Amino acid sequence: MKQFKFIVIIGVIVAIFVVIGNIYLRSAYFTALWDRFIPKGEQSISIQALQPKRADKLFTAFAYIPIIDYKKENDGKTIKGVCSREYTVDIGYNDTLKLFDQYHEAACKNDFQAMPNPALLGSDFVEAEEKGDYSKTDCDSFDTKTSTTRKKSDIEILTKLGEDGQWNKIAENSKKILTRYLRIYCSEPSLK
Amino acid sequence: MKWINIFALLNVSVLFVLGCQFQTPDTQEKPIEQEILAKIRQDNTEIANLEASYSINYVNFYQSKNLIRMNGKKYFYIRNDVATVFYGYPLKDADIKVVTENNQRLLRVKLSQPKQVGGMSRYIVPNENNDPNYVPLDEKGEKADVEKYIKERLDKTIKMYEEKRIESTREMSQIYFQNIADRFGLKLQLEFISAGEK
Repeated sequence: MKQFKFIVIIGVIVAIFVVIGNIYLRSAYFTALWDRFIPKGEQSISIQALQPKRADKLFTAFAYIPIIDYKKENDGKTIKGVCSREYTVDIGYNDTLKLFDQYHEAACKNDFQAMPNPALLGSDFVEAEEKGDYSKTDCDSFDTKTSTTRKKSDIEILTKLGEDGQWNKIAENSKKILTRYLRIYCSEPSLK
Repeated sequence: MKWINIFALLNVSVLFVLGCQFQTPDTQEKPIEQEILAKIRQDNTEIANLEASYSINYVNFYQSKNLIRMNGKKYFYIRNDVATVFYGYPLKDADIKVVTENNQRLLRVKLSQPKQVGGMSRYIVPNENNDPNYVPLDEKGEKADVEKYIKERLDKTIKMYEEKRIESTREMSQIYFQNIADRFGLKLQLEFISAGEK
């Protein structure tokens, strides 16, 4: 009986000191301790249609390219003059939000070939050079823009990128970047 | 004797509480951090991968002159070289953590300076020439070192645009991590560490 009393007293003292210890060490500690003893369940949620919150302009590639145009003799073969103009070109996707609906499913399947080709986001003229019989005015016409016509250079840049074999590589890399971007929003099986 | 025991018990209880306290704040962030890291690793081999393609055009023109006809035959040598480099970060160089600050969960990403990833690939694009036997001449009338000229121009151009490309690479990473943060309901805190700081 005496021993039982002793154990109870010791128990009460321990409890008191635990409480005092907790208050002493800020109440957050006590909460943390208490938190461990509360029964807890596990919850999980599978989100199917997560959407990007913002439209991003995604730059994927840059190119520095010349457009070379020739003036030929009447034989159509011999070069009389050359106009060479150099440009910097930004390539990518203008509005990722617009692409999301159409392409996110393919992206989640990791099918980058199904992605759209990137677009020319902007081009800047760097320098021009005429040699032989090629007038400056003619050479300038590539960047002349009127209210009704597009700049000739924009069309020529895409043609040139295609001809030189750069375009396929650029398009492939851009599609991969877009895939990675759209994959952020795929729902994945929960990783546990 | 009894009082010594009570002091010992006080110590034990304090240590016990401290021990419990030790692991709690971090453990909540771990699963989401692991999930984000797994996602990034699954989809990427490196962070950002900007392709920069440089096409350098070389035009060499020479017109022969003689006493009878002032303008003689025109000679052209035109060459177009394409070089491609990639900019990005190796995945291991990105320090990605989920932390709580002022009751807000943050995706804290530290990235070092973007680097050129992999080597440079280079090739020559076929072009038109008037006379396949024409030996290109320089301004002094000597045989031009076309190779050296093009290489210098190429290196100069790549260097000239490098800062802007690094900027675009950062922008690309910014967009990527912003979307990762959006997706997991976190606030993004992206920091670019300059080379010396690390």
